[in-house]
Amino acid sequence: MRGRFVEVRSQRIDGVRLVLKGDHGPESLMEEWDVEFHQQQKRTVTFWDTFEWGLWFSGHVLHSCGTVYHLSTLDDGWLGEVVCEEESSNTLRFWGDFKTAAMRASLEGMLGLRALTALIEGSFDVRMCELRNEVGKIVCRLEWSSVSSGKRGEKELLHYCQIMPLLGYEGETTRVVKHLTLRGATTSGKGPLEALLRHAKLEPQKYTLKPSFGLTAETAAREAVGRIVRTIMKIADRNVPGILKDYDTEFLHDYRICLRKIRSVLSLVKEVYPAEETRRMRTILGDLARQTNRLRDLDVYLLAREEYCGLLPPELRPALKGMFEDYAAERKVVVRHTVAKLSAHATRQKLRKIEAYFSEENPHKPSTAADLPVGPLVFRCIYKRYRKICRIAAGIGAETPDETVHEVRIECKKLRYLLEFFSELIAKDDGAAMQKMLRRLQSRLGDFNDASVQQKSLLTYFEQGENGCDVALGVGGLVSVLYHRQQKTRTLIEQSLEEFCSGSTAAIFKRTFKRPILASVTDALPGIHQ
Amino acid sequence: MKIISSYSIKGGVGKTALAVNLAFALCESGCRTLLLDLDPQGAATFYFRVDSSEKFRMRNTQSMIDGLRKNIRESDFPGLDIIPSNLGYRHFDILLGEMAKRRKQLRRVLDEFKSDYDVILVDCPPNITLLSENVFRASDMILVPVIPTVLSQRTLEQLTGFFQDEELPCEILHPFFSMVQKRSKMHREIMADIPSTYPGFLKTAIPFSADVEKMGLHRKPLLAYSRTCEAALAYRALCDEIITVPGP
Repeated sequence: MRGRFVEVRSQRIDGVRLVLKGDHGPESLMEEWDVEFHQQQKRTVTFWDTFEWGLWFSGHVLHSCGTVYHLSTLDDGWLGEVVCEEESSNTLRFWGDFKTAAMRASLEGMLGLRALTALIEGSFDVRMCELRNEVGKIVCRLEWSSVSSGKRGEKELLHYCQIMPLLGYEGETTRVVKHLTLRGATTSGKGPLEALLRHAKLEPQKYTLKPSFGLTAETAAREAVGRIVRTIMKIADRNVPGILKDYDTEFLHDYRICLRKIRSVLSLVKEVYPAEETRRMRTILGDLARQTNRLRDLDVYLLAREEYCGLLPPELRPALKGMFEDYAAERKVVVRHTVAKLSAHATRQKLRKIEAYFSEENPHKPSTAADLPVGPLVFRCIYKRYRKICRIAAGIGAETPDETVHEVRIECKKLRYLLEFFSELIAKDDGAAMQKMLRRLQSRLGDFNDASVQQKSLLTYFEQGENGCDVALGVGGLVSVLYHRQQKTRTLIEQSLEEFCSGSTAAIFKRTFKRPILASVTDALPGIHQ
Repeated sequence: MKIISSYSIKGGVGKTALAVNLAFALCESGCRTLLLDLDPQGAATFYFRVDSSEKFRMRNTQSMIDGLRKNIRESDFPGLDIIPSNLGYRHFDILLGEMAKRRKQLRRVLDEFKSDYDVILVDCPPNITLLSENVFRASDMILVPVIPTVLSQRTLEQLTGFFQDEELPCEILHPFFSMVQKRSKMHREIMADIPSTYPGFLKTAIPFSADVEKMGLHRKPLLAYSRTCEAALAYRALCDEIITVPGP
């Protein structure tokens, strides 16, 4: 029987956790209490988290024992209170695989599109005991545990006990703690999960696609760009095993973003590396990204499945079933091909070639902007990019072709990358304000583009297959909705562009980035005024 | 939160046995339960091996709330807490008598525990006093054990008469037969006669049982040491029946 944490008017009476010295058992308690022992239990517990440690960094732990999954709070490497539980004989990978509303609601925000993977397994020996007073009343419960990796011949990693006070008998808990600390127990130790991770040499690491590069305005441009490339390349590399195992769609998504970002920084901050070499690197990066195009397209279609179906009246929804089944079947084949390509010697060589080229040890040929301070150089680039967006925006109206809107989208993406890469050089508040406005604009441009691409892909799907009337109705219905959505978004884009290119946003961009050009920059880059 | 009281004007009718076993059964069925032992004899407190509560000064509503809260004791059964009896409770009447709205003070006090428990079960002393009247006005259900005897029948009539006189809601009264001896002809006759007079009369009857009397030896609820004896099954059935009675 497990003791509970009693909650009375939010005044929780916390249990006490003690790390024990060696395998000190509960027998010494018999000197002072009548101790009732329960049978020792052995539990093998699997701990789950995502590649991003989404649960850990949200202060939670998901662990399964047998067929029951428990979501608990995480408290300094100890398992805290159980938030919710679910029984399932299947291996559950995504939050959507869970059935209970409580589990789904708790996990959705912490996991997003990420898959759960088994981090580590621990073998727990647990022995419950109850301490009784002179009239036989239980006054304290204890859970005496040890944890090991479960591998034969390996010693226990941690001995610990959890003391669960009973409401109204807290004094007894204090006595127990005193009794055990006198025998070497400590309250300061990290918990069993921490011990297991340490043993497996696993360390929770924050994952971000927007790392810091340690740049200052005076950092030499080549050093700055090189540092950006090397850092992002490492992130791309970290994602490759996940793509090969096809854990979830985000590995490929992030890998492609990394490649795109590297290509962007090379083309946006010009003359930092010799032009010919830069072109060669960009071509390799383009090749690497291209070999994953179809897989990403299919991921996007399949992730939109629920959204698509929701756009249609219920009677037309079954028509899309076949289409998604086709996409899912194609994905199986494309994953195999993509994995084969990514594992191929040629791909690995390309990745190593980029790493080698941008490594600090590589003695590069000179180039005009290599040694310039990166601050003034990129500020100029950023302002130029902003002005370009404003120029295109001025010509956008109801009749503007879709291609022009797409062009603004691409320019905005470049601008955002620049703001992201060099955010350390920009005043925090101004940077946040500019990014916020840009994000809003990009979100609308993204919606416009998605609607346009989705219409094309739906029509392509329909034209390529031998489909019946029901599919025609479903696809037709969806294309109409998407077309309508696209037109609606266009008006919103015009509004956002107007806001972005005038008023306070324009003032911040001008104030931050429009600076007198240093003589060194004009000398090195004569075309900079253009 | 529901407040259920185990009450009878007459003593020795199985009132405390009901409170103790019902508290256990409610807790087992998933209700966070608080047993409030208002009987200065403290039999319910004794059954759970809990010491009498510490004395506290009861000057006003807030000091009553604070005093009761300080005295909550977790039983050996997770989910079931007790506020043990206290000889000081004999002063309840005097205290309540000095208060404004003196007939509704207990409800105000117990409402403070609303968020912590699903059920508060009150084991009442066998008398009609100002405290009893407070219990009547605080309770959503009053369970009245009735031994199928003439005297018990009479006390039930006295109780309903009191309710009518004081314009208390008779529908919260739920008598049930307690300590029933099937072999007794008188028991059988009274049992056939009374229930039709009281619409809230519960169907489940608790048999007379030596197992119940042994609670004093075991110092735990009957359901905790003899789950399948006839009386234990009856208490569980009574709990199930009470859960289905529509609330206020």
